[in-house]
Amino acid sequence: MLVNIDNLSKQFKEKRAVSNLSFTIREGSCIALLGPNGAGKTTTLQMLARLLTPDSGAIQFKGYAEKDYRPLIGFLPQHPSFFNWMTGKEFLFFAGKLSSIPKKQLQARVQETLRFVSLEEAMNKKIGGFSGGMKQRLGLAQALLHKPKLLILDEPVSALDPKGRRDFLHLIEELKQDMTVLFSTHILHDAEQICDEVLILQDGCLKWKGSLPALRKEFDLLPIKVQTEEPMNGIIEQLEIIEDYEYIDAKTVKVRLPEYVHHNEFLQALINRNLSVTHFEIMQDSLEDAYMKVVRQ
Amino acid sequence: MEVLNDINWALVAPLLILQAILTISALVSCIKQKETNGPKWMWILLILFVNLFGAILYFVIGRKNS
Amino acid sequence: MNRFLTLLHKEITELMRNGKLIWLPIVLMIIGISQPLTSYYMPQILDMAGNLPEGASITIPTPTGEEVLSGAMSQYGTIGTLLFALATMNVIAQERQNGSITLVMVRPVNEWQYLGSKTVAQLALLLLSLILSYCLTWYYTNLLFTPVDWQVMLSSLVMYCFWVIFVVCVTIFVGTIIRQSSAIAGVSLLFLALISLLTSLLPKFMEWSPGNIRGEATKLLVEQQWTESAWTVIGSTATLSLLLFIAGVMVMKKYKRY
Ligand SMILES: Nc1ncnc2c1ncn2[C@@H]1O[C@H](COP(=O)(O)OP(=O)(O)O)[C@@H](O)[C@H]1O
Ligand SMILES: [Mg+2]
Repeated sequence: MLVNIDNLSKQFKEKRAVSNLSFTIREGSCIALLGPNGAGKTTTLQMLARLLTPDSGAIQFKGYAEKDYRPLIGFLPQHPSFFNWMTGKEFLFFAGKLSSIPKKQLQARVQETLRFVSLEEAMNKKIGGFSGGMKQRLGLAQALLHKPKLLILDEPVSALDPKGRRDFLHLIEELKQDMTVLFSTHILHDAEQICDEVLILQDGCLKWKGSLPALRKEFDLLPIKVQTEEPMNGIIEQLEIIEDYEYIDAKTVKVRLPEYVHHNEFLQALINRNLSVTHFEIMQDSLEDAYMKVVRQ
Repeated sequence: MEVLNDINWALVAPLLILQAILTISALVSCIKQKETNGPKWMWILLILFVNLFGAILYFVIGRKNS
Repeated sequence: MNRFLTLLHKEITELMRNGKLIWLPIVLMIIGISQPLTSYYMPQILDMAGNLPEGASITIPTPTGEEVLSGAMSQYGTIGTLLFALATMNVIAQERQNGSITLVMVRPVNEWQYLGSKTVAQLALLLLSLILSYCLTWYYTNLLFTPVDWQVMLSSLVMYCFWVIFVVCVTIFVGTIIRQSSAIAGVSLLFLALISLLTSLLPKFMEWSPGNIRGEATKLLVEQQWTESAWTVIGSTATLSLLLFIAGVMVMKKYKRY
């Protein structure tokens, strides 16, 4: 365990942005904080980054005695803004010095980080002339410059175009080998692509936490849909590899397989029983349904 | 205009030079600026024709800080 | 200390890049030397304005060097103070409005270092401008009027520097409370005007007031010696400025929201 968050709350005038939030972050995990706009994601992450004082609650880094744990975290805000008169490289040097990276290592570290986010060519340009995607990458660069233990990213891909989004997700995927990552998003698909665990937040309350397969399971969703020419009655019931099923009509059925069974095995079983499969679909939005159920409940 | 001859220009020159540096640096900054608060031509006119205060006003509130 | 120096370096680079380090000293120098020049050419200026009836002549007594310098002081007191507040109003407000403060405060920087670097950089800029301007004005005054002893000039300059320190500390403190930069300048100037007004209305109770600084500086020029009241005003202004700075840090710590 890396961080323990206990009973965090924050009130803005009348609006209770976050209420009684508790969770732990395991070392080396990649956690998505999922929730619709206004759910309190930014507020939560800002409190974690010590940019906002919680009304109540505690945040404890394991094995770190000092109260100010900022040296251990890297933070990318939802809309990072820099000093436009600086160049990208100047900004990273400034940030590195503030994080007390030793002078001898700083130059190498800045180069390395710029290379990682592919900003080497633009490093001597004024940040004022950067595009949105470049700013986002510079934001990531400053967040991981000092090799933090916990990387906090607030909606890192929401403002990017599809290509930028894919590239950025790849970067995060690479990073999660080396550090613990916590990022927020309102898009389930992003979370699904890179993370092991989700925390679903709605109206400031934690609605659900756990792994994505567990979410699918808990909400009893049947992600595989098959259609055959012949009716399947009696056959599906006999298959041992199926965990659960639901008939839409005699020739259409939705099923769920246990984690250890590959869907090809199921398809094979149908063919072995002389059924002519006309449609076989792994429904992508099944998780979306589960998510919607959590959010609506 | 004999009055003008009474003026010791060596004395007044530094004042004019300072004023010129101010006006020119404000103009350069204004032209290079991507976005100003309000139309750019208005600022250029202000800087050129409203001595001292045009330039000050430009430096204080003319530039957009994004 | 290292972080403070890094922040200070950033502030000073910013002053250079955004041109403040050029325009503010120049504007103050123009304001300063205009004083001896206009005093010297006053007869010609009136002549040019030319509304006098034929034959009428006005005699303006030529001022002494000390009077010209205290005239410059009064320019600093009005236009100067306005400029000081306008130049200082943005130092926190801008970073708060555009959000760049976030990427500073997410690193192990504390409020003392942050506000300290801003205050020191701003003071360095304004005091440098004032010193340049005043010395140039003094040079002109010596050329055109009765010479003023350099020690007298220097002591009135030191006295006046405390007014600048006070203005900067007030504006920066207001900046920690209010977010809108025009409101910061407005409130600060209102506060400074109020202090000056109270000082002139209730001189008995306000002997310590920073509003007396200009009066004391003029007195230093004319009477040419440090009196006890000068020390009182310096002491109280320095203390008030320090308290305002500490209060600013406390406000930032308390209402943490970057
Ligand atoms: N500074 C603020 N003042 C008042 N209300 C705020 C402030 N910041 C956020 N809120 C409110 O708190 C709620 C949560 O906001 P936020 O954490 O930004 O949500 P998210 O990042 O999940 O979209 C929203 O309803 C928002 O209106
Ligand atoms: Mg948000």
